[in-house]
Amino acid sequence: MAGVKLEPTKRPVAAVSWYVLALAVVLLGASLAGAAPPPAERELLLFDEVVVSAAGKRLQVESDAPSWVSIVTQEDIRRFGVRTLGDALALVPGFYGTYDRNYEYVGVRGFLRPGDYNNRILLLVNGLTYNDDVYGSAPLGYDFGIDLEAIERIEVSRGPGSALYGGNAIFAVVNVVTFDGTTMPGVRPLAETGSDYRWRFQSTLGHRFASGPEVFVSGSYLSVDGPGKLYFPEFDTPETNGVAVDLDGESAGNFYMNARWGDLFLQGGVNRRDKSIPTGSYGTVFGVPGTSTLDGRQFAEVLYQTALRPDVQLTARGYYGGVTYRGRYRYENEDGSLYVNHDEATSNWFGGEVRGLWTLGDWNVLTVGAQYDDHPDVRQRNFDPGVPPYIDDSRSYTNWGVYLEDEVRIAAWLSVVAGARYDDYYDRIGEFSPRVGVILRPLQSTNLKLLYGRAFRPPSIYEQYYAGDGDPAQFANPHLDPETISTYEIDLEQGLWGEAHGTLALYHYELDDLIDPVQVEIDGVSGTKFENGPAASAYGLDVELRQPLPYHSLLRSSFSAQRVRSQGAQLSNSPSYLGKVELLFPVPLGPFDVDAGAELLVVSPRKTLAGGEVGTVNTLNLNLWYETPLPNLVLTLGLYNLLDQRFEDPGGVEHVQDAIAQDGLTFRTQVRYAF
Amino acid sequence: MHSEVGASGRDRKGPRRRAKLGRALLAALALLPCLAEAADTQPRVAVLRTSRIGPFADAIGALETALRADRRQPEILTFDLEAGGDVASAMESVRRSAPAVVVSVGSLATSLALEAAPPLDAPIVFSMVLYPAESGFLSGGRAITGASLDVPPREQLSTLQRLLPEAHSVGVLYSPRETGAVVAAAKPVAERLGLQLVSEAVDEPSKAPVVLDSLMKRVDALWTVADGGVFTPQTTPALLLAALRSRKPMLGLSPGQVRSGALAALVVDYEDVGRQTAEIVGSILGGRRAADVPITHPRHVTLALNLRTAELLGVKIPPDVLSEAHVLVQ
Repeated sequence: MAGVKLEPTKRPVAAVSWYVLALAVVLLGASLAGAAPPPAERELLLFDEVVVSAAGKRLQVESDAPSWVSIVTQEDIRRFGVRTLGDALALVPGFYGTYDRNYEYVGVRGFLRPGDYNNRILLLVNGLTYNDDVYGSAPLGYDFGIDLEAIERIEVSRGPGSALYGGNAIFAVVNVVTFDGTTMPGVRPLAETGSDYRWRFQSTLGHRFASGPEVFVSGSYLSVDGPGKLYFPEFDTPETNGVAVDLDGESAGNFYMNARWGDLFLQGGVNRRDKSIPTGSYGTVFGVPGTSTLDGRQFAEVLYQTALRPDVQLTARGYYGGVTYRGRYRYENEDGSLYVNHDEATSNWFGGEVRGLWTLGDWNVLTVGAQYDDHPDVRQRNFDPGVPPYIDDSRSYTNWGVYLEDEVRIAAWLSVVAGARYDDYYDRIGEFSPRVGVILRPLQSTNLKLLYGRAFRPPSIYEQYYAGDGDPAQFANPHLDPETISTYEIDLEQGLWGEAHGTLALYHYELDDLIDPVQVEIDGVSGTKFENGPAASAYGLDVELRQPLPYHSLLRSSFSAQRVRSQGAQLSNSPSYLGKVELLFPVPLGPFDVDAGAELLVVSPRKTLAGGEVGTVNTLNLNLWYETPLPNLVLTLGLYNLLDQRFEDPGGVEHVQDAIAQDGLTFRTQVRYAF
Repeated sequence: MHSEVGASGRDRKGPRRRAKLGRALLAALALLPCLAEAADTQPRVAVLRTSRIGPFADAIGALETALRADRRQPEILTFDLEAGGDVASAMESVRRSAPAVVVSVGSLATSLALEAAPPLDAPIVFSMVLYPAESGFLSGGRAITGASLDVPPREQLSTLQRLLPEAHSVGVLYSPRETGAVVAAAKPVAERLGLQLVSEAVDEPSKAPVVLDSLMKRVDALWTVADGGVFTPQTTPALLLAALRSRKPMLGLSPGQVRSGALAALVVDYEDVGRQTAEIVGSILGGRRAADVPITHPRHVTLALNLRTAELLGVKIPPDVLSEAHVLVQ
């Protein structure tokens, strides 16, 4: 039982009080100082700002947000030929993707732990939490469930977001903003095909009725066979030669809708995604069909927003979420026959949130809110047909949180954002998450942000209670502490020549109680257990340059360098640097109106779990967008890994492979039409 | 083989060159007093700025380039009036430099120049200023003129009319203190164009979305004036979204608003405003009184369009308008 902590994890009251006192001092001082702010220069109204909504649970401009916010627009998605949410996030400075031929993962600023199922970023859909309540995972592949064509923009706020959003907002808050009946009217179907027998059909429908209500619907079906042959040298035996034949197929069906009627907003969706697993993960028999996962999500939300007074806005919402996971894993009996092990998880949860926004003149915006979630039946099972289950754990829990944030504009060139949230999980974990941002505008096109924040991730139900005496054994750990992170960051956002814009971020992260799977031996039985590990820290910088060019062209380039260490060693799957060059440009092809989007992604070598290393990743993607002479008919061609580079991503603890080979050159082509 | 540059050739030309050099030196010595006098009379132009970058910087860059090409070769002295800085000291430095003209870039710099105590002696030429008259810059009896950012209401409303030929009533939000005079002056202009301008006053920015909500039910389109009492970082997104959801086309203030959902905006060429400023400075240095030099409006203005908004609102942009517009979103 080495390494298990049994003490309760409530934070000392004294520490909470200190934070509250500090917050009160900041707010009081800012309020007094901000009683009569000087007016902003009128001409500034003519200069640019970008609307974001995630960082502060309300509409606010990017430069006022207490974090560095990147926006991936529908334009980016279309012109770069983005296929998944994970691909979209890989466009963002400091983010990088990993694929294990089942799930997509995204690392942020050098952090991507094995088996974390993206539970260290908080994913929102129009502000509604989308992470599930079993694994805490944020689905980023075709399991995401909402078509990228339905997305207006993706707002990525780096850094801790627990001060407003609670758990899981460790490294970033990703808010997916969908279209609605006003912003995407009409019927817009598309059909696509591509490498590996890929087929996909998708359509959106948006309409606003003359009487006011509006509705938006998006649905799709995807089927892709995947590469016919995948070679894994670790399984190179005479029986299989290490080749998985026709075992990488995937299918997915998505449905999403929203509606708005006056102050009422409704949204909901359902999706199922089935993926065959070719890697022989979890000790399954390699090279035989039947090992697969099915992931499903369903959710619904009713949101009411109204102005109680011109300066007081009230938002109330109720929501439902559900998750289904069914894993089928083929193992071999002692006599050589095959059987299927079933690994399953289901949960349905309900919750509500009330939030108030009080605007005091131009200089103060106060946000207060409370949230409550009930998870009546979170069930995990692992069984072989015909025998008692190895794992059959069913439990309920609740979590709640209260939060307050105040933005004070002390002067035209100085704002202070301070806030905090208190969360209770499982009736045993209490976490206080403060955040303070000082935003300076010493010059007209200069924004300097000094940021401090603290965030946490509660241990998931899976990490605490997935336990059984199978082979290998899995041990429960109901006393896991939450992970916590403290971050210190300086962001400099600088207007440069012309419309060019640069951003420099310097940061230091300190993580405590990192939850990782470890191999342990308990009472002579060896197995896996999640434990709080040693602390980790990171120092790094991100630099981004955005340069609009003539002829509707745009160049974006970024460089990130980070040093992420724990116990004196570099963490696995943590590149020392990332480089990205993204270029949107028209292609002069005579009478043809073709736009191109090219992206070059460079990821430096990364350590693997076994201590090896995967080499540098250099991928060049090119997407062409052709508006045909026929009205509303568009053809696209996407070429991914255009130079056919061979590269690998580190494997997880469930893999024999220390590194997993990725796809070479593939293509996708689409026909789009708009009625 | 004959060589033109042989040793003997150099010997032959030597005495003649030395004589030329001697004459040039004598001439230069004779001119020195004249040059010194010219340096003393070289006019100085003090540029007051509150920002070194962005559109202000573009205008200042063009201003300086144009002034350097002026035959009077004015000396350009730049003074930074940073927010929170020591403005009184900066003004004292301006005064000591005895400029022939003070150029103030932006409303804030202009306001500080006019409020300087004791007053600056030199005439003030403002640049990149919105609504100089309505801001009270012209009413203090000071010698002041300049290059404004005001696109005349007639040009704005007629652009709106070209974009939306079927629009008859146009709404506008304003705060009486900031832009009441601008809106009042625009009403007869709108009438002459056959438009009804429906204005709604906003007494504080946070109420702007609510006021806009009632206004939109009564108008075909929205016009905007750069009013800090209406548009703030908090209200701007809400106003843009509200207009979009009500399917009311908006002639916005900036490319940023067009990218965020406004149908169109008139965009000023800031560098050309800098050049206009230099022309005004040149006139004053040439002997004209500031009061005799008219305030200019931007002469290079382009139309920025959001075609996706046009599609959403069912607005068909006339081909002639589209051909001359700068499309920001399609």
